[in-house]
Formats: sequence, structure tokens, C-alpha cells
Amino acid sequence: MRALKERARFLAILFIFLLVLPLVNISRYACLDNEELLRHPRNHYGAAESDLLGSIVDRQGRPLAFMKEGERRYPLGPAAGPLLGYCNPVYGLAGLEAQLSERLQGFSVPRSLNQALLLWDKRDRRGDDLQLTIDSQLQRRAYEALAGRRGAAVLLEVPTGEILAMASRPAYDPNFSALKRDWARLTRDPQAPLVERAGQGMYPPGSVFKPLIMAAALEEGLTNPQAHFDCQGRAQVGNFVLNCHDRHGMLSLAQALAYSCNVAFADLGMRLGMERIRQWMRTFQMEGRLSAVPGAVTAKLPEASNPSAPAETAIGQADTLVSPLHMARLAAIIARGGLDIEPRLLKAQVREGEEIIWQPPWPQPRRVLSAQSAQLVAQAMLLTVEEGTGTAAQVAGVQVAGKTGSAENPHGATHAWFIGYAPAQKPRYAVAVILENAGGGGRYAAPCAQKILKAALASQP
Amino acid sequence: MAIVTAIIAYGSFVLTYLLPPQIPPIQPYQYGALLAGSGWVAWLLLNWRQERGDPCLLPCALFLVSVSWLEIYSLGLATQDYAQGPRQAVFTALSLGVMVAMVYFLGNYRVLEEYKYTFLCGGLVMQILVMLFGVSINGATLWFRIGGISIQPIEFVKICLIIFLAAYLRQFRYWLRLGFVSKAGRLPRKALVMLGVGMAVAELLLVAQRDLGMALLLFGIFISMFYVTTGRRDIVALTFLLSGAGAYLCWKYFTHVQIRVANWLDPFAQYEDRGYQMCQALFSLGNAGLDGTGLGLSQAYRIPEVVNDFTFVALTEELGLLGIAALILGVVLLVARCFGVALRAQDEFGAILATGLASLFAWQSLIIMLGVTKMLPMTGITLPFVSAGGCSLLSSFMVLALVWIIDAQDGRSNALGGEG
Ligand SMILES: [Zn+2]
Repeated sequence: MRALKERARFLAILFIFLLVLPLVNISRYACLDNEELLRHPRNHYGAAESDLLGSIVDRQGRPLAFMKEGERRYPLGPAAGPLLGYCNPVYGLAGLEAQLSERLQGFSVPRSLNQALLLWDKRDRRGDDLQLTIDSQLQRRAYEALAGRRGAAVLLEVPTGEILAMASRPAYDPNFSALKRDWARLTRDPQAPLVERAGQGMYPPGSVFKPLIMAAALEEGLTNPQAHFDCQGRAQVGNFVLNCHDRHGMLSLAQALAYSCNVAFADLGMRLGMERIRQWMRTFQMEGRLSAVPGAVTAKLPEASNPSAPAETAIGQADTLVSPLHMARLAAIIARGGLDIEPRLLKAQVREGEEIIWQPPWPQPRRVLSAQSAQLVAQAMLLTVEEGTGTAAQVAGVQVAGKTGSAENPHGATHAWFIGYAPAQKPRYAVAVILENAGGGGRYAAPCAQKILKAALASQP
Repeated sequence: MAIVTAIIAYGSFVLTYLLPPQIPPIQPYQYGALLAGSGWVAWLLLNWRQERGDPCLLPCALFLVSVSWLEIYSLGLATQDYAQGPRQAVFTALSLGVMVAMVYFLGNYRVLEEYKYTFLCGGLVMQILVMLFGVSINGATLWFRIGGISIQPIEFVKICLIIFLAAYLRQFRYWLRLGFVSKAGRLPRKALVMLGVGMAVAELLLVAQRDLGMALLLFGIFISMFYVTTGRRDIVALTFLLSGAGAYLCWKYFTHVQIRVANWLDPFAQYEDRGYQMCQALFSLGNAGLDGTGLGLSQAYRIPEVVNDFTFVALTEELGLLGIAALILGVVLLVARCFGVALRAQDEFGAILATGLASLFAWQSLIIMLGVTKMLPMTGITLPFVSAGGCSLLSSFMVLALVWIIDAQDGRSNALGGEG
């Protein structure tokens, strides 16, 4: 009995020491070593002081997200849902709300007692407003154009590179009441409605990759406007048999693009080779992040090295992956005659409703393509809409240039693509549309892009 | 001494009035009064009797309950679950009622010893029933759902198992002390069988039920009671070695164990998915500082399931390092007083049982506190008297009642004359 109690006493003392152990990590995380934790990009502590949270407004100053009665409101609802994300105490932050939270709060979260004291007098100040380049009318129209489909659309203003619309379907309503109602479904839906597809979706480009290949081949001197191709409906590249969707017969270079001839572009791809294709994708700025479009993904450059890889890559298959935003940028480069302007989504950070305290640096137009090559590609894209695969994108009274694509993928029917711009002579708007597993690009994506371009052209005074 | 502690404990109810009057139909002070009142009544009723237990036990528990109740209440407001605070207050009052009833109606606790196999079988049957008919949440089948109330039988199974173990260990305490090969040349099979059964139950829970916390807890209690009773350091060491090997094998062959370990080592790698809860908890800890944000001002409601698993973290964020140190001292005091009961007990069954119950509190607090502070893999067990949940509260107060009864019947009354 005595020995038993000795052991119990020993155990009690052991426990007293053990129970203090949690304080080791608590003091580490709470006081001593929490700098890294607090600066972690995922740490959105402080967003809940949301009555002071700034608004997000569109290019005309119309609200996209604002605080009212302690709750974040989103007037566009699902039309801008995946793009803006949400902000509420229960589900946290997502989308732009998450990426911009520090700016919307106007100051960083107080990190320690001392800093909190220093910031005390600033705490009643409202966070900054953020102006986006989005036009809420066009955003809504782009969202409506995607109705009934899965996919995304990007609309760029050609002269400035500003993003006017970035729509994504399936979408969700980021207002708290709707989110609370739908949350279980949203998180479980295999179609991933929470994912923003326009800037962050990764898709095989299919035939909308061909303008890039054509430009590259012209620039490298591997082909010329007088070149012609003979399409027998199929081509043998090493052991790989590549089918064309038609027996096109003899085609000029421009016609090869307009009718989207795989045989002709496989030939151009083989002449270019993988290294030069990768190099031209870099030249067209598909690699890397964008400073003024938070969250936009970098393209996946092709890595395949089998003998037929250049041919497959040239027709947009193989292992290349791009986002709709990359493709809209490609259309805009052609529209500007070979000049690239980095796309922008952020326009300004405004303090107290008047003072602009931050703007993304004004991007310098950079020449990535000679004017002659760009013009040749532009003429071929014009031909595409006038008589080629993209006739469904025609807008009455305006010349539209474009390119269709039908990207094969492991998930079913082809992804329908369309990229283009209008008016062809003095381009103002560039567009990229993808409809997942919808079928042919000329049949499904082109009419959808046409609606968006028409809405944009009508909006201009 | 008891009155002073009680007054300090109840002083925290004053804070109830400071809660914002946001929700007219639910008056926080009514439930605060219910909590405080039931605490007082229970304390008076317990001390009414001739035989009294340790005067510190109930105030310690009430201190933990009342501080965490405020936290649970304010988290309920933040997550718009307005019934959460009231529910917890009602559960506390009910649990206190059960505790008083046990003290009044359990005539002599030594009868528990007679029914040890009843407790063992009852416990196992409950556990098997829940494995067969329970509701699955996150891949673990641990709950019964009756009329909208979830019951977690393991909370009561563990008490049954402790009673059984105490009785069993007492019966075979000398036998188990024999060496591996006794002088007669026989293996003390009982010792090995027990060891095997204990470890098998723990590892079974770990693998089949995916309940790492409960496995660790039962294993810890088993080892503690076994050691205190027999003093066989060699067997304890061997058990640790074998279960270490068992844990390694589990890690090697079961992906869900690997995922859990990976998630423990680097929760940020799986931020979007499994790591989210732990990452939010770490952010919450990071926000605490030395003095915390103040009661009701934290953002700990961002942690999913905060009132069940992370009440401790929410309290840390609001009370800061200093405040949570005080709370841990409360836990230490409770555990120490429970061990005190074991040291005072005249009867070996009482001493072993009190050791088991004390190590239940100790291991359970330790595992979850280390879990939420990322020193151990996170497990789903509750912090006694602190986490929200009726089953956990009821079970904790039942344990407290048993400790009190042991002390009242067997310890203090006899020990007053001098050292036992
Ligand atoms: Zn062809």
C-alpha cells in the first residue's frame, strides 16, 4: 500500500510537469515566435473587422462589393461570384476578397502589443476602396452569354489591356445568406463552382493556339504568305498519324488558319520544333504571374519530347495548358499589330473616397511580333470569321477577326474555344471564350463570343 | 479555502453582464444565473452531508466550466448558433444534478468492485453497438443519434473500463508482480494477457475507429494504473516499446494514419483541405499575444468546429498566454487534488480507482492541449469541463462524483486522525 502510494505520488508529480508542456508551444506561437505565422499569406485575421472594410468598385465606380449593416453585399450576385470571392466570418475569405484583403483593410493587421498600441488611433479609419477595371454591365452580359454551360469568358480592352469582364460558370452567389444556403452543395459539387475559371482555369488550347504558331513560323522565316499546303485529310509524322477534320486540298497560309487545317499546322510545328515553340510562348508572356491580376495562373509549357510532339503541340493538343486570360491576351497582341500590354484587373486603391494612394504601374507596350507578321495573322483571323470556321461570330455592321478551337481532352466532348477581336480595322475589344466539353468551337463558342463582343460594341457611346 | 475558491470561480459570472445584448430572446444572465445557481446548490448539497470529499474538487471544475461557458456562449453568438450557450448551461446544470444524485444514492462505492465484469461487458457492448449502429462523421463511427441528440458512448465506456481495471488490478496485484518467468518456472500469463488486451483495444480503436485520441487516452490510463498498482517498470517499458512499434507499423501500412501525421507536421501543405482547421487554429494562437484580445473579442470562430475541438485555442486567443496559464493551473490543481484523493484512500481499490480517474483527467487534458497546440497530432477528444458537449460534461462530472465519493467514504473521514 505504501509503495503503491509512492508510485501514485510520483505519477502525480509527473503529470503536473507534463500538463505545463502545452505552454511551450503556446508561448512560442502566441508571443515569442509568431512573426512568420502572422505574416503568412493565408492569414486573413482582421478581415472580420469588416465594418471598416473598404469597397470594391468597377471602372465607373459602381459597387461590386461593399459593407452594409455588418454584412458584405455583392450586387452582381453570381455574375461576379467566382471572381470576387466572398468575405464573411463563417466561411472566411476567397477570390479577390482574400487576395486584396490587406489593401481593403487599409493597413496590415496589428502584429503585437506594441504595434497594436501604435495603430490604435488608426483603428476607426475605414479601409481603402479598390477600383477594378471590370465593367459591371459587361461582366453581367458575359456571364449571361455563358448561360447553361460550364466555362469562362474574358473581355479585354485592346488599347489599354484592361480587363472589362471575367466571367466563369458554374458560379455561386457570394452574398452570405445564399452562401449559407448553398454551402454544402457548393463544396461537394464535382463541377467545382467555387473555382474561378477565367484567370485560373487550365485548358488545352486546341486550335486557338494556331495564330501563335503562324506568327512564330512567319517571324522565324519558316514560311511566307505565298506558301501553300496540300491537305489529304491526314498526315504521317513519324509513327504518329494526325487527322484533319476535312480533306482541305490545296490551301494558302491564311486559308490554313481560316479553315483550321491540322495538316498544315503540324507541318509548321515540325519546322519550328519544341524549343522554339516554348520560346515563342514565353515571348507571348504566357509564363509567369501578372502583377495586376491577382491569382492568375501561369501557363504550362509543353514538355513532351517524342518525335511527333511539335506537330501535336502546334495544333494545341499534347500537354500544353493555358487559361482563357492567356488566349485573350494573344488575341489582343494580334489586334494591336504585335504590341503586348500586360492585362490589368486592378485600377486604383482609393483612400477616403478621394485620394488615389496606389495604382499598378502603367504598363509599357512591348513589341513581341513584327507589324508585318501580326498583320498577316490578323488578315487570316479576319478570313476565319468572314468565311472560315468562325462565321458564327459575325456582328452586323462590324468586322470581327477571330479563331475557333475544339480542344480534345480526357473529360469527354471537346472544349469549344473562340478568341477574337473587333472591330477588325481599329480594334477596341478582344475576347476569349471557352465552353467545357461543349463540342466544336465554331458552333458553340463563336456565337457566345459574338454576344459578348456585340454587347461591348453597343456599350461604347 | 473552499469558499474563497468558489467566490473566485463565480466572480467570472459578473462578466456575463458585459456580453452585448444582441439577441433579445436569449438573456445571457438568465443562463449565467442557472449555471452559477446550480453550482452553488450542488456545492451546498454536497457539503450538507456528513461525509465530505475534497473541498477543492468542485470549485476547480466550476472554475473551468464557467470560464469556458463564457467562451462557448460568445462563440455561439459569432457563429449564429444562439442555442449553443444556453444548451451548455442546461447541460452543466443537469450534469451537476447527476453528480449530486450519485453522491446521495451510491451507498458504498466498494460495491462497484463486485460488478467489475458487468462494467467490462457493458462498456464493450456499448462500444460494439456504436460500431455497428452508430452514425459516421468524418469516417469515424462514434456517435448514436437519438431524437436529434448525439451521444458518444465512449465517454461512458471509458469510465466503465476504469472501474473494471481498478477492480481487476486489485484482484491480481500480487500476481502481476511476478517476473516474466516466476520461480516456479511459469509465465505470469495474466500479466501478458492483460497487456495484450490493453494494447489490442487501443490499436483497434486507432485503426478500426480512426480514433487516435481515444486510443492514446485509454492506453495512457491503462499504463498509469498498471504502473501504480504493480510497479513493474520493465513491463511498462516493454509496453511502450511494443506500442511504439505498433504505431510505426500503423503509420507504414495505413494511409489515413500517414495523412494525419503529414497534416500534423505541416498543416499548411493541405491548407485548402485537411489542414484548414489547424491553420486557422495556429493563426488564432498567433493573434493571442501575452494578454489576449479579451473575452468575446477573438476571431476564433473562424476555426471550424471550434467549440468542440478548439475551445482551448479560442480561450488562449482571448485570455492570452497569461490567462491560459491560469486556466492550465486550474487543470493542474484539479488533477493534483484527484491524486490527493488516491493518496488518502484507505482501501486499495479506492486508491487505484482514484488514480485511474485522476489520470483520465490528466491524460485527456494533456492529449488535447498538446494536440491543439501542434505538439501532437490533432485528435477529436474533448478537454474535460472546457469543451462544449453534453456527453463530455456529464462524463466529467460523473468522474468527479466518483472521486468525491471515494474521498468522502474512504479518505478524509478516516485520515483526519493522522497520516494513513
Ligand atoms: Zn486539313
